[in-house]
Amino acid sequence: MSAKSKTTPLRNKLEKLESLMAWFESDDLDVEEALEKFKEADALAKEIEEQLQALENQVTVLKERFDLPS
Amino acid sequence: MENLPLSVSDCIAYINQTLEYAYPSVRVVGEVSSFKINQGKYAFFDIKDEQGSLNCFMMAYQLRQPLEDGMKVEVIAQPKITPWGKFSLTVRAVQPVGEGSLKRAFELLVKKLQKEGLFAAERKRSLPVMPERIGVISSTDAAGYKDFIRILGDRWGGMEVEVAHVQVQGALAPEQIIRALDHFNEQAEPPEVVVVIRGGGSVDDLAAFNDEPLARAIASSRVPTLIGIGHEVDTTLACMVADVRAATPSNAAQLLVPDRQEIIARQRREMSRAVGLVVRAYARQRALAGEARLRILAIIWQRLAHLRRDHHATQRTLLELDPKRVLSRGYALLRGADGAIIRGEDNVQPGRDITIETNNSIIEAGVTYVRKK
Repeated sequence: MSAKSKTTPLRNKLEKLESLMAWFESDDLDVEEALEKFKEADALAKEIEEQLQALENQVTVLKERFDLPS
Repeated sequence: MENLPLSVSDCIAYINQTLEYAYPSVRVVGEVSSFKINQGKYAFFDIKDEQGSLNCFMMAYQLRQPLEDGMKVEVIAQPKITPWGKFSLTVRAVQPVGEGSLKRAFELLVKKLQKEGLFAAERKRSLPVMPERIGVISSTDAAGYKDFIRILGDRWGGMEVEVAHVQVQGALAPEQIIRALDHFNEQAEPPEVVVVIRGGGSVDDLAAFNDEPLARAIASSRVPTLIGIGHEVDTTLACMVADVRAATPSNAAQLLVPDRQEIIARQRREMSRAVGLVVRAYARQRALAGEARLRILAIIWQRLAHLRRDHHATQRTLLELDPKRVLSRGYALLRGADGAIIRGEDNVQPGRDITIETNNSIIEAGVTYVRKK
């Protein structure tokens, strides 16, 4: 496994938010519960947004030469 | 030397010596005929024009693409006389020339690889949705490469991108790309995807991607392959064997990673929708006492406030829900003696005391008469 996965926590958050959003689609929402879930979803969405904006790629051009037989 | 007679073999040897000295290598263009491969190893054919014909011989493995009678080719060969007195060209390299021949050679190769099942849909692997390590094979000078990296960075981040700089056109390109593919496949921790990138250009420049050994190397890559080499008309062998093919380098970036701005926008839309659903649920629940209703309304109002900047639709909802706004339009809130809001269906008896809240005052009143609308 690579040293540190940068996006697994992000993936988990996205999945969690997705399941929260799905909950809102169900019939007969209990308003109190809905507000709690909304609060949770709101915070999660904010975190995800910040994390997404901050992501940056690390581009390395290999030093190896491929024009010579190895 | 003229006095002593030569043996037949010596004669042939001397003549071959002269030929080797005078014509170590000739380039000949002509049409292929009587092409055959013996014992799977030895290739024989004639190369001819309207007036002459020369016999050619080469090892079958040296053929970089299949040949067929009627194809126009260029051979690089050495002339010699065989031990049986046959004048023959020993071919070092052969390639089709002219559009017709190139096209035919390509068709033959496609058939061959298709028969081997290298294009089969079942072989194709899908790419990881959010890759964290990718390998890129491209010329770092090319515009296509720069576009790919830029769009990749706009859309997504957090990836380790290793780039193998190679030539992507010309006769040397196929071998270099193969070496780069091998490099990534042989890493202790190989990337999740290898992306082969090349910017736009004329059709001939794509010849490297119709190279058979390269196509085979891509087909047998353990690491899934994505190819984006920007051709306009015909596809290439490399595109046919790769796991995923993109129309252009930019398209390759789109296929490889999600777009974070799009995710953010979609999230915000979904949050707005959730708000709407909560409000709807609230509207349905009439069992709540009046105070509880107002409290919930206020909480929803607060929650929506931070979304206000982003969506006009949400803004409208906010405005509609704002109790102050409703009251300023002339509506009033009626409450009973217990403070609970009186809704139309509630049983209101004449003689009861009620309070009326308008946008700027509270009125104490008593019910005199109730008439259903």
